[in-house]
Amino acid sequence: MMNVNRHKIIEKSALFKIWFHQSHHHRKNSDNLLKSINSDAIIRLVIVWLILILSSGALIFRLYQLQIEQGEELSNKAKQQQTYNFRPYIPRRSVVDSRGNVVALDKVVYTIYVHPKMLSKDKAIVAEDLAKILINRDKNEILKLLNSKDTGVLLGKTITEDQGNKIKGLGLEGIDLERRYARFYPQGELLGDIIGYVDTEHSGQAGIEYSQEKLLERDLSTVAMKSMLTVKRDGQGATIPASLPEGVIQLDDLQLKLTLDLRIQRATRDALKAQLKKFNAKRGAVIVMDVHTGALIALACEPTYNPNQYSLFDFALYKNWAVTDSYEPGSTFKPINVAIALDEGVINPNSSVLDSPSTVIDGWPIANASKTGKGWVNVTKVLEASSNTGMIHIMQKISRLKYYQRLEELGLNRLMGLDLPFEATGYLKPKEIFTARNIEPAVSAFGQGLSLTPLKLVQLHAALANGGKLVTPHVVEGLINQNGELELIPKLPTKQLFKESSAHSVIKMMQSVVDNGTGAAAQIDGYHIGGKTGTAQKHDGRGRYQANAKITSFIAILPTDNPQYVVLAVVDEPKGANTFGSTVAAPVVKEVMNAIIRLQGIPPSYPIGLKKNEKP
Amino acid sequence: MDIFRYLLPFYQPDIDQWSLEARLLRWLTFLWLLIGLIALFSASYAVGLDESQDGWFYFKRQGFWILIGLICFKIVTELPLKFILKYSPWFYLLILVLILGTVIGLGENVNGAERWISIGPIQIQPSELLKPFLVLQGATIFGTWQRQPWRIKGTWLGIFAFTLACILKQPNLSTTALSGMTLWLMALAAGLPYIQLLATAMMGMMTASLSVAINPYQLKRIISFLDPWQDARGDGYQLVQSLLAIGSGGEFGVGFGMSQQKLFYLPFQYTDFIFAIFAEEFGFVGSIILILMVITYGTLAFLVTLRCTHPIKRLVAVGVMIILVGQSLLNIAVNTGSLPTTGLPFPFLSYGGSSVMSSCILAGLLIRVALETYQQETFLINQKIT
Repeated sequence: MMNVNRHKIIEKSALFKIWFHQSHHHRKNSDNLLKSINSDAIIRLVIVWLILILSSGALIFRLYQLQIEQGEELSNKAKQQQTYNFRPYIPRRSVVDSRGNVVALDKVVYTIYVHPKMLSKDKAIVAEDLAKILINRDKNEILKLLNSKDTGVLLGKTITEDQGNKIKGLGLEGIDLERRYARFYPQGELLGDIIGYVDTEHSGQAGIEYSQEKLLERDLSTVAMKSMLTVKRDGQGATIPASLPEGVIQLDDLQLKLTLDLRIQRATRDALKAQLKKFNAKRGAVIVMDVHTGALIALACEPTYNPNQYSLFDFALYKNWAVTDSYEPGSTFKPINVAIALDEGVINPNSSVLDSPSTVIDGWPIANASKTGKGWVNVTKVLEASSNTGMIHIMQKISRLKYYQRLEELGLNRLMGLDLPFEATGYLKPKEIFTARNIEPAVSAFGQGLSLTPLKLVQLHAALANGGKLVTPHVVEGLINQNGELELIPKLPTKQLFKESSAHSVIKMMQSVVDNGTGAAAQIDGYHIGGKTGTAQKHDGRGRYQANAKITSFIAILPTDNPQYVVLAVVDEPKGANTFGSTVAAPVVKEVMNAIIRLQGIPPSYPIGLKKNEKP
Repeated sequence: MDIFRYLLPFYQPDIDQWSLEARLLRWLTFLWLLIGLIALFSASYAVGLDESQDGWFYFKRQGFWILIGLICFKIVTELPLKFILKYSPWFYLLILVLILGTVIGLGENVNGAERWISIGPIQIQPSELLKPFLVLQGATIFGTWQRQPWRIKGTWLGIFAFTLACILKQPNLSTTALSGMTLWLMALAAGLPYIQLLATAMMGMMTASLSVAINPYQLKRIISFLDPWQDARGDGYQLVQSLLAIGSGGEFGVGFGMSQQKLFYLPFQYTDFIFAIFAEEFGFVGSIILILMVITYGTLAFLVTLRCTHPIKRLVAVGVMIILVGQSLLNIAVNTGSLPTTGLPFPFLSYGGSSVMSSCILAGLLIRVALETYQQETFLINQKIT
């Protein structure tokens, strides 16, 4: 080894010597020539060097453009492709009724794609395995699906968690399971018009799913949630675990609690449905409200839809027309007018009023529905008989301007501030028109010429029942924690609308309407009940009333000695001969009140069976 | 025991006898390799993990190749250039045969080009390995241009043209262009008449245009490079992803290892587009430092060429300077969309054994030239003193 190396070194130095001599020799011989070549050579070398330097300069400028000038723009574009919205993976809060029954919840479902090309087993065997798990699917149908395409066959979009896990357990290659949350409404159509539904993007589209998005979506403003919303993923689509915030699973356990009572809601909907069928009516709505708080105990519109399969229904059903549509209340508005008159001091409960068969206002003849009149009667009798002329004579005692101001104070043309979406205002004619002639206050006296939503009417009657306070109707009680304690209660305004004494007097009169007048159909043994019928002609939208179309309603207060609930039933366009508020709507209200009494355990006002004997 | 002198990469007991340029170039080569390894670690980790469940997969292999490369580097710096030049034609021809092998179908098809050839278990890219010998042969021919008979000059020019044609046929436009430009710039530095250089340049341009006309994929790339956003999901995808990576870097970068674009958005992120990942992680400042390092390397090489009086050795240094610096700049130009997208590795950064070996040998040659120039100078001075 040493020898070889030594030899190499010797060889190396020898080579060097030879080479050096050569070049030295060459140098000596052409010293002058070399100098001139050298200066040219230096110029050429500098050219080569400069080419490199200048191109680096250009590249630095290019990098300046890309990283400094366009840096933010490019960075944003890159982030766009690197992140994606994680929202469908955060479950929405559940919704429960006033008794804690779950009425809306997020369930894990799987969207399953099969890539038949990648299947390791025979398609027929796979189809059979899948059909065993997806019990409602046929194996031949699945096999047909598998034969339809090579990749990306959609097996199902809402396969349950259990079934999905079983399919995962098969350990088959070529099956993609996408886990997500889907909204599920265990009560189906029972609460459809209140809860609404969420679309495929998990965003609320109707009902409280739409209006209460803020409460239903878990708080997305926290840092953890914000980072959750934009999770990083790599070019192959996989989520980058490090980009997930810590404590992902530590979602709060809050639920949205409604004021509704499922049991009363069910009784209400059943009663309404049956009556609509009986009278072949276009539509109907029933509202039950707590008069002191404005809490809605039941709210049913018919026909309705099933939010679990919302796409199968007409989209017009998604709205809750008790909130979104206004109508002319007719006679059900008369007690409100009486309260105004009492407030203004133009009458007292015992005042005498002329109930004539008809009267002429500004040249327009106006008659009672019965075409008869009882002459001079007290105010209670006016309501009992639902006299139009009597009401006109009462309201004429107030100046047109004052009456208009009082109607405005009712808030007919303002929103109530509901927690249900798409609330509509009622309609009150402009002040100039209303105060110009007597006819306007005259028709308003019996509840025509103005409009309001059914729920607004309930709110006004609740004010009569609770001693004059205008409460805000609502279906959301608040957010409750796992122990059922309310953590967030919406603040709802109330204001005094009528004098307490006026309100009390009107309630007494309404009790008399049920005991002795047009509301007799709503009598319940053992309970003092107030009520008022309404049968109004429908407007065709061009200022004319339609001959055959009417809207019947009945509003009741239960019980009048200690008012707790207002119940309103509105039935739109019932068909048949004997269709009035007392015959169509009142029986529904009675059935609903029976359910309330039974389910809420309202004690009787007097021993059951006593009243009938007392009656003359 | 003396054998270690030739094989231990970092062992250099006679370093105090080295010139300043040689010592600086030596350390700068090591620094460049180190930066390359660091950049490769980040750029290749995710790919390695995805492909072979081992994030260190490419790093380990690159480390192995760097070790081999450093031994070659060491051997080259220890051997007299005279000796190397004597055997270089035979190496050149051997590698040319390998390139010919890839052209006639013995190569491995990777991404639509046959640039690789398998020798036993090892895949090599002969067109990469040719670079040092191209420099050596170019220097030999152009350095003695005036004294050589046309028979020899013509033969070698023919061999060069044939080599370029073979590489172009693989197809590998970028290496062809780089090799052609290197030879041309060496000829320029050698002092060949400008008129001949101009004529050759025109010919080269024409060949390039012809190649583009024949290979539609090259034309597509050139079109997509002009406005990559037009077809950001198709032809422009690679460049768009590269621009997104570089742009994301901003002023100071997203930080080492934090590149998002390397996570399978940017293809070839550990080979031809490693600079884009480097620029994303270290930003404008990091990119400038890298370019400055390359430029410093080039300027040191330039100083070596200025001091060297021997025409062949000077051209060797020129060739090394052009290939190492020029290729780095071309790679950055491709990454930043300043030139059409082509597959050209960044010396010492991109993953690839052949590229690392070739770059190490080139660096060794440059340092050898610096050493011999210094030895000659001191020899002359000593002679004058005695």
